[in-house]
Amino acid sequence: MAQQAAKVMPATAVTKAAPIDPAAVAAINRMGDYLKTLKSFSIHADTTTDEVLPSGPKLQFGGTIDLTYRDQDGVHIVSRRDDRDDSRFFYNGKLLTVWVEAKKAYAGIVAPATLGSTLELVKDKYDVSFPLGGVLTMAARGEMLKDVKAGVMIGSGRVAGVDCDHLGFHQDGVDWQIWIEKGERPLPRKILITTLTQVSQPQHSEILTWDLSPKIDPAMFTFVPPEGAIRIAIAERKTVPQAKATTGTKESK
Amino acid sequence: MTTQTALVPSIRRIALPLLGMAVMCVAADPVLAANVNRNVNVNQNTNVNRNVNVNQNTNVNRNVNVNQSTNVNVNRNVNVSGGYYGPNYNSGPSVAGVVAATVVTAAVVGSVVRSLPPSCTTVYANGLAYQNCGGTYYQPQYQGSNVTYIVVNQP
Repeated sequence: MAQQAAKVMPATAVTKAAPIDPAAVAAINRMGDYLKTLKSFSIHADTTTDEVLPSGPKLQFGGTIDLTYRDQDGVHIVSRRDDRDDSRFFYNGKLLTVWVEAKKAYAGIVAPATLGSTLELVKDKYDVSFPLGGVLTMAARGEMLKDVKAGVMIGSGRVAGVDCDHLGFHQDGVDWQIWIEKGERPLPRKILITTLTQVSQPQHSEILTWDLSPKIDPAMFTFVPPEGAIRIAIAERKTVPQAKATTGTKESK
Repeated sequence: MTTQTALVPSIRRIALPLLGMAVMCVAADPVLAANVNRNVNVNQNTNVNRNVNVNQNTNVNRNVNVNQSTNVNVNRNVNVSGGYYGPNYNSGPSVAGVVAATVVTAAVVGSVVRSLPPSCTTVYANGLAYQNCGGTYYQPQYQGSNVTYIVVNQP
């Protein structure tokens, strides 16, 4: 642990001082403006997520996210990953609930006024990874480039045969790249996030397939606990979770 | 001789001849008496040997501790296997493995595990469900993208 932390320091210290390319900012804003106009959509995402084991090896796990969105007051997400239980998210403008069927457990919070502020609350207060949180944040009129320190228009790239603009951004501890569809529908088609705070720099990727006229059943946004379901808490974000773990290990010896 | 007078008559009938025989042996043969003393010395030697054995046991205990450390590593490896073949594996980053190992030995309040020990019962308090696993209380919680269990004081 100590060794790892020592190695991490130089990586975060190498902060690129490059400015943000205006072309990259323009592309992100154009995508954001377009997403805000959408009254509803659904996304199927194929994901990969790297996990770093204590002994060092980096593994990759596949997954899918199926999201249905209705402007401002409806989100339904089914998140599946090979290495964990399926999670299902429900947001109806009043309550945000996550349901883990395998554990028969659900956890919920009373949502603040808007979807944007709900996503912000989840990000800041709770230790929850919101699936496709970035895309939702943009659709909910949130700011995507708030923490960005550097950005560049890399060039063109194809995702699932679709021509895209390829952009790269850097912020503290994270590099992220995005592929935005060229033409009339500037939709994000691929997102790749690289975590810089770990030596082996694990990545998370999402390849997005869009449906801009999805079938929506309003009931899908509200969670109804099945019989036998138990309510559990949501863990709050801790500033230094690793320090606690290290102390605990020492105590046990 | 004072004990002899304290004995009840029924026991005295058996005790008297036995005591008499012992007194006779010691008194009649001084050489035998010396042998008895030597035997006492031998017993002392045996005690010393026992002390040595105790020390050896201490060494064994130290070895057991080393094995426990090894087991922690083995558990992590088991988790890795589960990642490929089992739905319950949570490949959490290093923190998870370390914390889980801590709980196995100490069940420190505030530590987090990804799965529960066997034989737990659900208890309810404050509208939330807890797990009582042999007197250690775990509170299930949604954390990151998973259900984890944090060790808490009895709710």
